[in-house]
Amino acid sequence: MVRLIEVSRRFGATVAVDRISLELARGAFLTILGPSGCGKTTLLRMIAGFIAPSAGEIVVHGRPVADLPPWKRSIGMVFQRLALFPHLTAFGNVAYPLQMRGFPRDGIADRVARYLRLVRLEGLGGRRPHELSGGQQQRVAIARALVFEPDLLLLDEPLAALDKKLREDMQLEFRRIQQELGVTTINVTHDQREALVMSDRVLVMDQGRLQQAGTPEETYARPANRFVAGFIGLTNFLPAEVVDRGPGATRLRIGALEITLPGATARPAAGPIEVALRAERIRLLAPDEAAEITVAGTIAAAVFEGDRVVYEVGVPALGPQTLKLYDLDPLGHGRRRPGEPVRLGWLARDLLTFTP
Amino acid sequence: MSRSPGLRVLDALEGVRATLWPRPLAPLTPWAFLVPALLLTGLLVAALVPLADASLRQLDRATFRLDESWSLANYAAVLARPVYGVMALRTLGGALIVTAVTLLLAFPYAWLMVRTARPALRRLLLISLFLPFFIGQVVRAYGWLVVLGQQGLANSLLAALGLPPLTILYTFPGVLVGLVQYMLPFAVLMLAPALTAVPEEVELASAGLGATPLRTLWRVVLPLARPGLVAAGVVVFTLTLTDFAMPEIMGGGTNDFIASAVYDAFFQLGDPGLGGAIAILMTAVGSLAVGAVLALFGLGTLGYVEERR
Ligand SMILES: Nc1ncnc2c1ncn2[C@@H]1O[C@H](COP(=O)(O)OP(=O)(O)O)[C@@H](O)[C@H]1O
Ligand SMILES: [Mg+2]
Repeated sequence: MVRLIEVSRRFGATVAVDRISLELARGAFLTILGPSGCGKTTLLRMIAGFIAPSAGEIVVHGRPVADLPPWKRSIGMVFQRLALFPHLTAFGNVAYPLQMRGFPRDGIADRVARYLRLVRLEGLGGRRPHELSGGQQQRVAIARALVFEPDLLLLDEPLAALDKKLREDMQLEFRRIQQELGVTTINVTHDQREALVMSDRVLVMDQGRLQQAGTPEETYARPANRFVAGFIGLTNFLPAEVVDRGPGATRLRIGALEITLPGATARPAAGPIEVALRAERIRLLAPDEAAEITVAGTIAAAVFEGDRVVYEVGVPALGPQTLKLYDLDPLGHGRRRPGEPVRLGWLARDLLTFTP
Repeated sequence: MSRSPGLRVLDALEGVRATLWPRPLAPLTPWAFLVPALLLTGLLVAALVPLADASLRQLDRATFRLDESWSLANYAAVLARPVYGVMALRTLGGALIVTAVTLLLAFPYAWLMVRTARPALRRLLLISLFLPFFIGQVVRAYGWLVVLGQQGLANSLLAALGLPPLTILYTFPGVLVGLVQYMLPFAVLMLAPALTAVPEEVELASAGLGATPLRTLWRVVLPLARPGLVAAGVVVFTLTLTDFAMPEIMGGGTNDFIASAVYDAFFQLGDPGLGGAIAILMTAVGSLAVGAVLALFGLGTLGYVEERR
């Protein structure tokens, strides 16, 4: 089990990591998601022991690790730029932690071979890193981080530099290996898709601060604040106003539109607020189709993405801003052209409200 | 489209280049770049020819002119005189010691300069590195006299502490101290880029995988910095091997290196034949040593192929 208690790190005036607390069960896969520069690498480096926290405590398997240098911690890390040893072969790279950690000499070759097999690199042990493809280098890096069976595996965006197809393959591959070995893992990424695909739990960070922690589903369905709502998924934000707060429901005004939110929705404070609506919750209505909330608009732009079309629709009733939405079956029916009038519909409970 | 003045100058130059060096000549471009280097090296080799020629002619003591006919008499004379053998051994041994000590001191200096997170410290290290270049070898050697002389700073300090005075000046170790100090900046300047090329993440990775700092140094940093170490070693070794001023000043004539013998042969004895023979022998020994080092570490000095992603 890994526990961080109010961990902070300052670099001069910048606070790279600001009072982050988290708890991770043995065998779990946590992804820390956040934009570039939000402090992800700094957080991982503190856990690995490369830099000391300015404040707070890190506990691994019940033991505070503050006084342990990296080489005495049992943590495998895959770096952003992999950091393979260029002068050693794939075999040499994977054998390195075993040699350094005093594993019995005669067991090393077998162990390395087993882990090279695990990452599907049989037969390539004799190659130097520069003789391997990008994906193969990733596999060496992960084998090297896992071969000594560390308590904890840290992944610092090792997939970020790969092209999309290979990245998605490697995401599944990392997940497979992680589940096969049951190793507790903290993955770090700025790729929301990767976070949702790979993890048991997601922790969203911005500017060094924790924004939300939860399962991928929770994070997606119930973003804790405007940042999380905007960072994960394609989200429309509209300025709104609370008109009336009854006991079981709230009346909102968005532009010229008045909407009643059911009581279950988190109640916003009175006054100006912001409403978020995910692109995929908005439906393009057929002429005779009804919905809980309907508005009329005009197509402003259409972008074909293969498996879907992203429309931008101007809705005069909502103000000058356009709404973004998807058509997920673009080949099933005709494409709407810019200038075409359309009707849009969604459910009141799909509206998320945030106080700005 | 408006272009900046800088770009316009470059475009004008490009026009000139295109007329002087049209496309069909493109395959020759690498050779063209080599011309200055080949000329310089050629000049040095050409200078060896009259030297070698002189070394094969004995000086006629009566007329103070070199013989018409070739002989190996000068080489025989050099090899027969133990004083030259002693000097050669002193020079070779001194160069080896100076190279080892310099690399040992330069490596941590360069590492700290490259790795420190503090800009102020990096600046201080860089300035300290370049300062000696502004001062020059002779003035620096004179500085050593002030510090290490019998009544110098060092001995005043020792006396103040109640310790007996130390004789460093005009001894072999004194010469080595001066040489190490002279060579240190060269070595650091050659090591720094080699260490910059070792990503910090690789050092961190090694630590995370279980290596103590010394093991990381031995198993990762030194192997990756090898090209820089070899290059710095070769430069320090050859510069020391042929140095003249430092042994003269710091040794005060008691611990001359072989270059002094060449100087004496030419300008004291007026015997270019003997001087040429010593110079040729010294060049041969130096070239053999460097050749052996390059053969031993061969490809390493060319660097590793860059990591591909
Ligand atoms: N060694 C350092 N010195 C100064 N500032 C740093 C250092 N490392 C990181 N930072 C700053 O801390 C913040 C977080 O950086 P980092 O942890 O690398 O973010 P991420 O990995 O999420 O992109 C950034 O503003 C960065 O400039
Ligand atoms: Mg980072």
